[in-house]
Amino acid sequence: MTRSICIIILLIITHKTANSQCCASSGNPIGSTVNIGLLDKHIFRIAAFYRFSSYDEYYIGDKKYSGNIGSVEKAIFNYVGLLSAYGISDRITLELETGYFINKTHFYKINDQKLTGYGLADAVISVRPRIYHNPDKQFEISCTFGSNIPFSRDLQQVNGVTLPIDLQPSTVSFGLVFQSNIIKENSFRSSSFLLLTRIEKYFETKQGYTFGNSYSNSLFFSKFFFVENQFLQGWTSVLQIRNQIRGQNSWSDNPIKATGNCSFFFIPQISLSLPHKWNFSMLVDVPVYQYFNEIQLAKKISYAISINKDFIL
Amino acid sequence: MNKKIVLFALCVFIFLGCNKNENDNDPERDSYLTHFESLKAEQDTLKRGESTVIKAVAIGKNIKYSWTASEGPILGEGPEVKYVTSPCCYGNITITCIASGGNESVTKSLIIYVLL
Repeated sequence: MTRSICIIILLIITHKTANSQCCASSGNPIGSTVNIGLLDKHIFRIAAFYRFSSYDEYYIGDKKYSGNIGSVEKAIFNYVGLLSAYGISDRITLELETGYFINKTHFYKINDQKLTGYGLADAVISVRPRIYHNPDKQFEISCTFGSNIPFSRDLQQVNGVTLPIDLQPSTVSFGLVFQSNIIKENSFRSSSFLLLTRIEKYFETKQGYTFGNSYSNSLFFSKFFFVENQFLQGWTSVLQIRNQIRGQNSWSDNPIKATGNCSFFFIPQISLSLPHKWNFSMLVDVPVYQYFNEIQLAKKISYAISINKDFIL
Repeated sequence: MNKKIVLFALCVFIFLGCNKNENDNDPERDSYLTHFESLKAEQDTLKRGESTVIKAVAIGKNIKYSWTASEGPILGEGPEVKYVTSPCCYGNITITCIASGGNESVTKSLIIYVLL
């Protein structure tokens, strides 16, 4: 049970930043809580991850748009995150996450110009209580309540120009996160299922901008393969299907029509269990279906790597 | 021997870095703003996918310009920039420019209308 939860941890960590989007139409990075799973009492877990995402095609509805309205040729972001969690008791885990955008860049069609935002994203502090646990059936339900705290409430300026909201490293807004986690394990088969439902609500920024609410569902299946040598203790194959619905953003209470979307992703992942309780994981986000209100920039691909380690305090 | 040379070079570098009087070439010290004359866009109505040049004219020395668009990106820097429309943004877009020099700063705004 512990091992597979630990492995699922990694994939959800990296899944988290999938919410960090970079492009106008797709919305701003949404700081969101990390899902490190419930920890045993006095266990401290730290994880670091890196994510790259790329966007280069406009969509209108669920079709590719080939007109000339879009001004962005390509958009990318490089993000590093740091997550930590501590098991206060066997039933409650405290979590803290923060991250840094190395760059968040739009390449424009005009004169090959670009704009780049960078800097600290948001911090998310959350508490994860266990709701239900049945060791015999290897079934567990937990939930997460968290709050998003921006490192800045002012918009970032670069070379005297205020960056568009999509290039801001921080959401510059406070927010709330709720998440439920339902885990069913089968230790005999070394496999597990996880259903994760998440709701994110963001409040108006001091500039009058409000990000739409985000609702997502992720279904994970993981299978652990035992290996015994000095370099590797085992590896896990994980398949994830994720649906995300983002509401429309608004500006001074007026909805911005070309925001909001519904997306489905297929996310394969491999996690390696290394000696001394180290875990290394890598994944790729593959968009399967994307629907956008009006014309928006769509995600092309995204990949992430992460590493974590547990300590007993 | 090599370590000593590297250490010496590092000390010299740090010393020179610390010793530099930041005010020697500080444009802030020699900056003033007399008058923010005008803020104009080449086109005040655009279709989505288009862009326009916006010019600020201010009188003074070493003036800094700070630009903000209510929605969408501004490219460039200094007294002349380019506003680029975005698919998401249409209607009235407010462009704000703050010209600063010395202790003075003046703000001017204009509106660009982006057609749906």
